[in-house]
Amino acid sequence: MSIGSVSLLTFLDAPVVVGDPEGRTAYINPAFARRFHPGGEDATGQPLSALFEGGVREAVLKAVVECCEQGRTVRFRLRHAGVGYTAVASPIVAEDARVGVVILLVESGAADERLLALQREIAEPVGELRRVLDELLEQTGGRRDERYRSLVEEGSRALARVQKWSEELTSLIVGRPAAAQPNASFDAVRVVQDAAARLRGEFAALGIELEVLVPARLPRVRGDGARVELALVRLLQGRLSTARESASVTIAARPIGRGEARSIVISICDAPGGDGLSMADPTEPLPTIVTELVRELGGEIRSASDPLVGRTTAIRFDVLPD
Amino acid sequence: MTKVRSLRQPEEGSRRDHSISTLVRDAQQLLRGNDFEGALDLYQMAASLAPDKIELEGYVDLLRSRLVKHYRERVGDASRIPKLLVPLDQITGFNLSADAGFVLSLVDGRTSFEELLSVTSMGPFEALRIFARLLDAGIVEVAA
Repeated sequence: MSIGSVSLLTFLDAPVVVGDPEGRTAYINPAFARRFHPGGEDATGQPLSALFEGGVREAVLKAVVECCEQGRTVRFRLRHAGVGYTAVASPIVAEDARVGVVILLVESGAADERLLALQREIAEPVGELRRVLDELLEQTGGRRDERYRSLVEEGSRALARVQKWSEELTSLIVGRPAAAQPNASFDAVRVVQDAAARLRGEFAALGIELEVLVPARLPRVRGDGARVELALVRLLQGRLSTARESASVTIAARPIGRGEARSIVISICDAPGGDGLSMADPTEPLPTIVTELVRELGGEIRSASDPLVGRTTAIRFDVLPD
Repeated sequence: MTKVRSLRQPEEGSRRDHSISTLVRDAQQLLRGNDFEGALDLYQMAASLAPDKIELEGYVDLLRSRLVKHYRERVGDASRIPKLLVPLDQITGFNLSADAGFVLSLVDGRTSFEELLSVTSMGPFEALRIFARLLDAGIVEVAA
């Protein structure tokens, strides 16, 4: 298939380029030729790298390598001649062998560009705030400053969440999954305490007791703490919406397994007031966002209820090996 | 060999499931009589038999959360100071666990429950349970 061949791709307005496993061009459609290869000479057989320049070349080659090596679709963004594109590189598979790669370039909408620009605008003051808070934290070492220190720490944690979700937003706009951190780990005690701290005011306003039962320390757990915190916040919010006044909700974490802990379990429990049978909707389903998140992090989540004791949602996470 | 294993495994599995359901049934029986401590022990046994059923660990936490309230009530105002009631040479007669012995060694008549809880490095459930039991056994008392 070359520039001269006629196929459905010929009539596509979006630029398309097909490469072979050796990184040579097998086909470009007319839309691609018009925008990226205006010289008109046959591109077939040329290295893919020769079709692009500078940073775009680097982005395309990186995506092609990733796509061919891992056999999965890779999304990335590029800008050419003042136009932004969202690119999708997908492997072409025939009889279990990867025989090439097809790259589709879709012009980005102005809204995406604007969102990205906004994200950059947000990231800059957030970075400044981070520096200020770090400096303030250094100045609040004495016992008299304890209250201020705790306020600054609270602010830092909130800012860390803003940074985290701001990065997630960028990944979402760019169409790339958030950078996977295979070695990421978190302190479950801190994550549980932070999740509870975020909702303590809301619980208190409804007259519901929120108890945190965690030991002083737990082994570090594999996964992204910010995402686990989000899952716990969602679960606690769910409890908040169904709990009755004067009820009590507990969030707990502890190690499980014999000898050296291999896992930890984080539970959210609510005990019914009076007779257990009056507990609101004991079979309430778990929010999808939470179940997906826990699964993504390699954890396991189950809910159960018993009119005699109450309702519980338990999440198990693997401990990070030493 | 493979045949024997394939026949034996379901049998062991069903025996395990039977044990778990018996433990859970007995635990519920104890709960009806408000024996939360006893029910907790049984749920813990069931959870250790079935590590794949994490909902059992959830029930363990649920019972711990109920019991911790009871222990807090027993201990009362955490700013109060526990005092030893039993002479040190008679403590061995109580057959205390190592953890309880450790907690007891921290009771000096000057340190409050609150402070003791923070220095034991145990979880609040474990530490409060020990204090509640020491109070029940008359080994410590709370200064007025």
